[in-house]
Amino acid sequence: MSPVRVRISRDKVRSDFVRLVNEISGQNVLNCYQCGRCSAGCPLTFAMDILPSQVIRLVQLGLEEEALGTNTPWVCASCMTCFARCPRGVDLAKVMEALRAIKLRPGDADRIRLNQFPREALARLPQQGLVSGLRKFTG
Amino acid sequence: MEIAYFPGCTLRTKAIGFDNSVRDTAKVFGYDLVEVPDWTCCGATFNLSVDNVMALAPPIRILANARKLGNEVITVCSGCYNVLKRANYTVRNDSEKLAKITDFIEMEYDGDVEVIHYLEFLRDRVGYETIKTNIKRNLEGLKVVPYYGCQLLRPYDEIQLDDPEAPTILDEVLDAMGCTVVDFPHKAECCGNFLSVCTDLTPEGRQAVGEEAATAVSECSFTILDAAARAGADLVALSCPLCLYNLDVAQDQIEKIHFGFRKMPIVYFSQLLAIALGLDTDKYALDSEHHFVDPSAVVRSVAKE
Repeated sequence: MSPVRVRISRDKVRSDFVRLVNEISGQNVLNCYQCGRCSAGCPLTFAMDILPSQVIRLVQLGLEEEALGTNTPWVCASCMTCFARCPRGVDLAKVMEALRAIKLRPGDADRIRLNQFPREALARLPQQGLVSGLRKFTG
Repeated sequence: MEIAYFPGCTLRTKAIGFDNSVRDTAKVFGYDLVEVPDWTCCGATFNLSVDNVMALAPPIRILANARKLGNEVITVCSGCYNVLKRANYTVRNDSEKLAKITDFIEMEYDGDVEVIHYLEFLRDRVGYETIKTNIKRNLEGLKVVPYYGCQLLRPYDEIQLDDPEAPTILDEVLDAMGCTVVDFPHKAECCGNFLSVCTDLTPEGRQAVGEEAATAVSECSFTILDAAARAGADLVALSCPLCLYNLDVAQDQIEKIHFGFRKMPIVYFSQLLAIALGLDTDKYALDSEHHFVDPSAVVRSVAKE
């Protein structure tokens, strides 16, 4: 993971972005004190650009572009291990969902499309997987 | 005794062996599972955006329909259980959301249906002693790892079935049916959940979501199956059709990447219960048509009369 250079400002910290994430997720991201237990226990960090706790830090600082630019929210499987272990009671799975929602809600930003599935894959996938996958990756 | 039952979308099709074995084993204990009238898909995954009220409509509609049969409903798919239980929890604690949904679905509901997982039902209503006295086939020596996954356990505040990280309920049920239960450290570790949709995309689709997301499930599944093999297990028992799909189908890919990987069949706990209770094993889809790793050899080894 390469170091990231960012510019912090009062405007960004107090931006609508932080408010929007808090509103959609029902969480207060400022409750996180960056202990890193979520990242230590996350079973999917091997596939993530940056760690879940780092995403929270970016959101805390109002760094919208940086937070939305990583693949981390798209690799999060909502298993809620992080939430089970968070000493501050921050539901990270909800924060990740909020970041996905911010990207998907304006429309025309679907990450997957039904016609991208080969016929045999559609026949094989359990409905439960197909429906939940489409709900997570499309607006 | 009749009791309301919500099978969910996957159980009537891909996981038919799960559905049939739950209905038939309940019957052995004297319970008739009656399908909730006019049921639909629950939404498959609980929507985590707190401002999305619409996603609560399907599960609440299912619960309002279940209310016509009584004040409890049994479900067995971990996904359905998670969605129904969390939706119920949400409306019980938010009267404004409840009013919005009941207005929209034009049905009455006040949160008074209890959502019960079949494992919970076996533990609290049937009881382990009753299971033990009904055993017809000896499963001793069948080394099974109990796999819980995520949806059955978390978040604890809303689910409250068992410890969110060190659960024992499935261990106990498997033990009561006579299996040799093998403890292992990845009981509650995620299999990758819905990320398997990324795996199954066309190459262009995979590129669009990123190779990391597309290969995540097989890596997660390898971690779990490797731990199960090291613990000495013959097979994995679980309660979620998506977990089964992920752990089962991923083995094709895992075998190509991880040298020396030994394939392991994945089954639903209720399929093993049906075998233990002496039911006709041909009825529960324990075959290569419904499982990528064929469990029939393991089943035959224990299903002798």
